[in-house]
Amino acid sequence: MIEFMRLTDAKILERMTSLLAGDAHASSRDVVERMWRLHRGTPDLRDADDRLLRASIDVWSWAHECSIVLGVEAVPGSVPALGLMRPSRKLIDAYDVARNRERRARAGG
Amino acid sequence: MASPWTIELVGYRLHVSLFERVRLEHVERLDARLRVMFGDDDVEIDEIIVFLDGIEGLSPKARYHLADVQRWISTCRVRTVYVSNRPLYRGVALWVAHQSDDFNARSFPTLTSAEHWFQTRDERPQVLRTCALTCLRLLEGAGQSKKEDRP
Repeated sequence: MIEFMRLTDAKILERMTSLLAGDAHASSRDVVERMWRLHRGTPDLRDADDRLLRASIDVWSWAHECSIVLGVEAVPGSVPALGLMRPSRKLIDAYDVARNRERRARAGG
Repeated sequence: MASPWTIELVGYRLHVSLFERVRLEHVERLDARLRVMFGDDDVEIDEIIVFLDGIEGLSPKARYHLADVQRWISTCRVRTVYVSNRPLYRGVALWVAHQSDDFNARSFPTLTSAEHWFQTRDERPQVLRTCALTCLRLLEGAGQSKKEDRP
């Protein structure tokens, strides 16, 4: 996906449709192509599927803008953990100390 | 040294094209040029369209300065659209608009989609609110469908 970001929209569509080649993916391919056209602002909404696709594009653009992190000059290690799953700074530091001790021991041995 | 940008006044619209690798000094020169144009009483500008299709790079310092330029543009009461056919630079343009706090700046994949927005008077926060409401309706609809699916 990161590679896709650097491509033009036309190239991305080309890659996506080639990945979805074959009869088994025909409906998915149609949805991707239709969404691409709606995203480009070309056609008017014609049915319930179009309205749903349009809504999906709106939701996606909302998520994009509302996930922009300001103050990106912050040092990554100093940013407070946003989730409970992230280990504490103390634990990470203790881990680094232990790993370095092991590396030194191996190099010395 | 040639700058990797061009400016052209088309009616009340200012067309700015950025191309090749854009660095801080290039954006500084663009900034100076824009200030001269906006300071000219004979020039009337309602909208700015920044074309990014030809761009090959925009350094981090150039991005920050572009956000500063955009913040200044917001005081000139004009609407700005950034048009790029690549997700990467639409994202950069969105960051510039967001960072600048200019409610009248947005990024689009095509000029056609930008024209739709020009036809409205919605500012960016209003667009975001509409998108958020769409999100809620979708979630409500999905919840309703699940209830209906239950035996």
